[in-house]
Amino acid sequence: MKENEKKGRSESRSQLGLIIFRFQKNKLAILGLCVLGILLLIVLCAPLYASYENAIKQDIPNAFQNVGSPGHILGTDAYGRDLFTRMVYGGQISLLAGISVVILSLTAGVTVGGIAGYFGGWKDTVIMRVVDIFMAVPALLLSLAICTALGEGARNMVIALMVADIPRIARITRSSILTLRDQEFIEAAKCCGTSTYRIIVKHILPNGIGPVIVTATLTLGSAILNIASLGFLGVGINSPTPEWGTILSDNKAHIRYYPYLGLIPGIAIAIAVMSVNFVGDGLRDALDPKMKK
Amino acid sequence: MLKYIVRRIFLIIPVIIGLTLFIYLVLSLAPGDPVTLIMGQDATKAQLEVKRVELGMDKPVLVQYFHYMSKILSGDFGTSWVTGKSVITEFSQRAPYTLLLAIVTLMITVVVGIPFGVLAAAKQNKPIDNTTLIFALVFSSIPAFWLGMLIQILFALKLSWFPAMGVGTIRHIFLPALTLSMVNLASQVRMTRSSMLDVINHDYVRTARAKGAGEFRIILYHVIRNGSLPVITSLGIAFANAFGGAVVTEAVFSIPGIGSYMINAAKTRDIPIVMGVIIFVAIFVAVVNLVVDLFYAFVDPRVKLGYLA
Amino acid sequence: MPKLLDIKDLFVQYNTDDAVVYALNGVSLSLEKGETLGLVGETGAGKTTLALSILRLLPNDVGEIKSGSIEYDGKNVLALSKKEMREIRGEKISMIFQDPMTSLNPTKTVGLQIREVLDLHSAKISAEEKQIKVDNLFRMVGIPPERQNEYPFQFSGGMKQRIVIAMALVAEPELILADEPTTALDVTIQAQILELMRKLKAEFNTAMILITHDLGIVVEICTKVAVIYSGQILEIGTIEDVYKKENNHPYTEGLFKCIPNLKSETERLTPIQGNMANPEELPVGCKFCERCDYRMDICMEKEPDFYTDGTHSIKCYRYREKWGR
Repeated sequence: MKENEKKGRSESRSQLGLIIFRFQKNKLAILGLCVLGILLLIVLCAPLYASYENAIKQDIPNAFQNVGSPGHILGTDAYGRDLFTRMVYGGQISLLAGISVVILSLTAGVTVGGIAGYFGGWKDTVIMRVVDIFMAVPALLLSLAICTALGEGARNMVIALMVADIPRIARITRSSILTLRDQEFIEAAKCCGTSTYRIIVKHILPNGIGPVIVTATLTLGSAILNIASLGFLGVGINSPTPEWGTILSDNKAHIRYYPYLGLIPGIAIAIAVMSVNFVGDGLRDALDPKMKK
Repeated sequence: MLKYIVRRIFLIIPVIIGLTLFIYLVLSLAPGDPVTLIMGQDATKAQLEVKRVELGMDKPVLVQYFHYMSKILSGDFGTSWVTGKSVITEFSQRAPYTLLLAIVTLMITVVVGIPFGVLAAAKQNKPIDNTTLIFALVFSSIPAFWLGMLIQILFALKLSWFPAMGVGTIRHIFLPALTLSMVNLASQVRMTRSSMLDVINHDYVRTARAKGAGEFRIILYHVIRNGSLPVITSLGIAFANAFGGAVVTEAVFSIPGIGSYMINAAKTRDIPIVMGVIIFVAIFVAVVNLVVDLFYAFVDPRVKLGYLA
Repeated sequence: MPKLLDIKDLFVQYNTDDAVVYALNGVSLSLEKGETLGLVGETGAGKTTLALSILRLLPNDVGEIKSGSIEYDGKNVLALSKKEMREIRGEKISMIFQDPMTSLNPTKTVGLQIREVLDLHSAKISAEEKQIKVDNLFRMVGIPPERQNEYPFQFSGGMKQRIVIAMALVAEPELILADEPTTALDVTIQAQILELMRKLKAEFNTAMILITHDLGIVVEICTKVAVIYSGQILEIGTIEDVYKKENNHPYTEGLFKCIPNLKSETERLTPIQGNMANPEELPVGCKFCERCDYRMDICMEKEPDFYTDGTHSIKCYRYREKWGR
């Protein structure tokens, strides 16, 4: 019995409390959350300590300064621009655009999938057919096609990525709702005369939100990667706009001799995505402890 | 069974119509003028008009769409707005490279990914499992193009073991395939592992142990057969997605495949190319999915009897 | 001659992330060749854990046999190598699991699954002989042998259970651990399965531990019965000893009272008040005393010993004077 005292049994908690408790037990998830928070802070506060000018103004004589040179903590790139400033403003696009993609596609995807799943019938069939159409091609290709049709610009890129993510989210939401809709506790609620609105908000949402949240974090991870990829390819965002992907493509030819130019943006992307993945894994384990890793 | 296959093939048609119509609609709603992009900033209004008529862009978008679709039915996928070259000709020249890349990637993924996934599941929580998971986590967080650049610099430029770019020999395809597979491997290994784990924890595996079967036999006869279904699905998806991954890899390694074709088209807003590629890829993906489903029937008797019914 | 199965003072626990679950707390029982023991208890009493422990099939990283001994045919089961354990499983001791729905591999034919036992243990027998044995067993459990190339999903629940039983018998084991073999089936099928088991037991003279929560079933085919509660045996004896209802552990008394009687005209059922103790925090004295009508002070302080009268043993202070050790 003493062994159990040591483990510290938790007294009864609310469901949300339980989830938070399980989440914070996961060290990696907390680490990911902190790193993500720090990155966001650095990126959002950029205008406070770094001028955008430095990110785009060229200064050739100053090119290829190494990490730690005076005035340039991370050195300069092939055109003499301060790498740190470029990274920080680039992060604004990489991270914030990624977050907008997720928020937008979540909103649209959950609504669409929710309608399909809850009301069924012809609404469901039509919506699912459309979803199938959009999932018929790999997401990156679809995004490229939409970018082609829309034209240049970060805003168009976000729209293109969003459209590619919505079908998947809709599907997951729908299947989550379908599983719940036919469960007995929903029937029981209906028998008590609960209104549709109340059923959705109080019963279906709390129970069905799990897989959706987990998908959202995964989507964020892939959004960041996709944005960097599109930046690298020069589609949607281009030099001289700083973005972690464009920074890499700018300096592609020089990385062999100046490795820091290649390592810094790449590692930044990797750290951001890994943190998101840690948080996502932690959320998944916290929401359903029965699921094995 | 045949009826099922035919039905599936027919379903591709609404998909193609849906996608192409959508793209044309987006095009019509988008600001900006593709013709200006094509002719350059210095072109005169007259030159722009001529080009516009030439490309049929003076007509309303829906009319353009119908023209386009009717030409497709006779096998003409149009010509590039920028270069004037036939889409289908250039596509068929480029497709083999991408296909080769996809196949080699698939092979590497299967040969390396699945055994590691099974091994990680069989020795859950032991060092090999943890190493595999860490590897999977790291490689699914790395952008493919970055990995490609690093591999290119290390193995081609610094060590000179492989050519850095282009196509021609098997050695040319190896580095790009390696890049693409490492990213694929990450998710494939995780998926295989979790699928096998699901099975290992199932009751009938316990029954097999109670009969006196050893771990090795259990893995071989019971776990793999039952756990392979989700794995096959994800392999199919990965193969179909190779076209997405190929885009970036082809850019890094300068491979003249479908991916780079698509990128150029995206930068110059060359719609016919984009449409052609989308249509072909949609068909390809649908066929791969169909093959995967049929394979399912082969492996799982419940599915097979369901199809025959 | 050594007993077939001899378990002494077995302590088993599950080490989960949240807490330690004390599943078995000093179980002792023994079985002779050909004997049938009914192991009766509520959900959570430790019945399945006991069966799994005998075959050392506890979940690897979580289940732990903390102390005690299990001897089979004179050999120390806990000291056997993995290989020796595999030789025993299926051939000397076999197990019938509780839920036939999930106990069979869905992608293999039932015939192959039964044959697998022979492939594992009687490799020297020729293929034809194996086939004959499998056919025989199908007939014995009442399924046409022609159906052996079908898959589990093509059979009903009752038939699946018969297949599981056939699988447990094909290698002619000396001991069968039957874990609630009829719980998942409806009453009419239950009767058939019990009849089948009785017949097979007579034919092969197999010893059996029949795990169940149903006192009625025990009477049908068992010669001995043990009552298990909170991971301990509270009472053990022959069928006559226990079912005579003259001397019983208070828990067994309570169990008998729970069974509704067709002849009597009571309006309300008499359940046993309270709940089984939390296996993570077991009380110090007798595990049942919280719910016991005859509770005495000493019950809460110290666990009682077993007090024996011939073949009948009860773990209760009420029998300390009456029977003595």
